[in-house]
Amino acid sequence: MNNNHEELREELQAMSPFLEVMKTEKEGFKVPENYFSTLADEVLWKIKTEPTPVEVNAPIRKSWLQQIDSLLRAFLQPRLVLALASIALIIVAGMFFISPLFQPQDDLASLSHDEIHQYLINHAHELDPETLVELTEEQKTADQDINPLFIPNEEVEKYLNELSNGVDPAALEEIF
Amino acid sequence: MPITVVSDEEILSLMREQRTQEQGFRLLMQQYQERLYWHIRRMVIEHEDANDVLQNCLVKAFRGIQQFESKSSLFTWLYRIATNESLTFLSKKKRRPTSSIDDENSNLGNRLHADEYFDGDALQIRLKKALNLLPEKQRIVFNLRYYEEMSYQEMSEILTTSVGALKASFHHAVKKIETYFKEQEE
Repeated sequence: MNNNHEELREELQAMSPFLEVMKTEKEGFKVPENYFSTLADEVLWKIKTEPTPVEVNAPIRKSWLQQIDSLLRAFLQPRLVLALASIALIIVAGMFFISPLFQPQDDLASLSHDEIHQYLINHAHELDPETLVELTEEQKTADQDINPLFIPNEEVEKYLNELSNGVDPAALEEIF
Repeated sequence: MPITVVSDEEILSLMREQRTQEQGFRLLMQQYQERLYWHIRRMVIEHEDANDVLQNCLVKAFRGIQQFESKSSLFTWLYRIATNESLTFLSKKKRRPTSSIDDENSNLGNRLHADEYFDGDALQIRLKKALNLLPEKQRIVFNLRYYEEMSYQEMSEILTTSVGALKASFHHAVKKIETYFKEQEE
């Protein structure tokens, strides 16, 4: 200890003479009277009266009520509740956009021919005449494409000639 | 009562026998209780806290003596328990809601003034305040070296830290304390 004391004194002289001087003064801490002479009895009494802490490694078995309670507690954690609420919101929003109940209705499909006819008569003056003519022409062309009466004779002859090319004339005669 | 110096081997052999366990423990306390108390007191400051921590430390030593393998000295082992118990106590105390470090430090001054087991002067209170601002491990190093005059080698065994690191830690602590005093004077 004396060696240590001398070593420390030299160390402090080099580093902090002020702390070396302070070391000579009393520190100021005190203890109650007879503290150290009664401490052993106090500690031994504590050892005898306090149970030794036992480390339990086996899990404690819980009753079914306690299990439900802990399950509920686990589910009611704020983070989990927020996460579940967000998932529920996403599902409801998804159903809203996917379900036919929420699709916009095709009102024209539910109208009868009479209703459409009546509407056109009532609103004919609102339509542009050029558009009406254009629509009529388009309809005519579409009808010609479909109706065989509108196919020109030249087109029919050309088609038949194409068919007869490469066919044996004797066989044709037999047919007709 | 005259204090008889007993060797660690004697204490240990007495404590390992059920019949002589209590006698051995009393000898252990007689030998080390005061040094352990002051080591703890300098860390936790108040006597009541130091008493609680010391009693826990001694109870642990009594219950754990069968596992003590004599790889280190009994003194080193006891100091390790005391240091760990003090640090545990301080970390529990820190978890309690308190105000800033500055408020805590000015509270320390008030506490010391009011403490019936402290009669240090204003300079000593300032030194305690300066120590209170050090990181806990640095404070332990400072206390062991400055107050207990422990060698760096002994400290190294207790704190399982290299001698070089302990010397550096003590040097930093001394410089910080000096700076604190200079700032207070300005």
